[in-house]
Amino acid sequence: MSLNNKNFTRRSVFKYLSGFIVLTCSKLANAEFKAGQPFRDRFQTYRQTFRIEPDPEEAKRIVKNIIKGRELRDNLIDLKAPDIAENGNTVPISFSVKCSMKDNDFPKTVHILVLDNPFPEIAKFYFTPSSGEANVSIRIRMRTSSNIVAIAEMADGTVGETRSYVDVTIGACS
Amino acid sequence: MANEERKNWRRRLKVPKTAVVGEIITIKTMAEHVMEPGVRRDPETGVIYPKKIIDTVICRFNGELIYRSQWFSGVSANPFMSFKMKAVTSGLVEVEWTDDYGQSSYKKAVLIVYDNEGKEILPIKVDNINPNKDII
Repeated sequence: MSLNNKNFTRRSVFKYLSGFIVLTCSKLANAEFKAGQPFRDRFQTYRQTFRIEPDPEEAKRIVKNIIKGRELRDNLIDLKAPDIAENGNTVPISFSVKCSMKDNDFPKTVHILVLDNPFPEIAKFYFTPSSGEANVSIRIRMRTSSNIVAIAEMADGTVGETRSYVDVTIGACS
Repeated sequence: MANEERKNWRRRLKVPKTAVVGEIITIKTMAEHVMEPGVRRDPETGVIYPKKIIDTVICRFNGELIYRSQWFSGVSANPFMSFKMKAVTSGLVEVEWTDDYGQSSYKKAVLIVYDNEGKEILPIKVDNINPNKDII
């Protein structure tokens, strides 16, 4: 059966040939991914594979779904964000909601959105009266220079919104 | 690989050790995590790295939920977050991070709150406990 004895049977030749063919085919199959075609992983959703470009209409729709046609309150949120962010991977922002954290005068949820990101929702924060002040600082990712929107939904049903524009020199992948 | 996996589980929690009643304290949290947004591709093969992010962060004080946050893929890698809490009694501060795979990790810290006169305010009133009856 070995090559030294030079006993080539039909079966042994097929064995080696099949192994060779499988190896070359697998290499060719891997070469296909180099073109950058979408490859779907087991845990990947449809949204992840194909909607990588930002969609401004969906961002508007998300904001509209949060506000639901209510009137906006002025000067409710203080949003601190840098004017120019060199690295889009970590943009430090912080906000504080101006209110006395007593009954019905506290923010139930605060949404943070970046409108030009492919996934505009970034974080939601849920507060209770026992968290003495609605003041949070966090680091976010931004793809391009765009508006950061903070929307606060108060416990009594009123809504406030602030926006601030950030210039990003090197964008992040998010 | 094992070392890289271990990196995802390092957590930091900073709570001031002491506070005065009515003082608003800041709690600083930091998690070492890749926060893979599920959009990046491997440059050679074009395969998308699977999404892996921290979903929810919860803070409890003496077992009562005081603050909750929900994160999406826009939060940066090694996410840092700081928030506020009102000091009323001394007790246990717990912060819990949960993955989108359902894996959770938590850290705890003890906060001691003093009265204006310098006495510690305990979460349970000690005077009401009868040592002969209540403590076995």
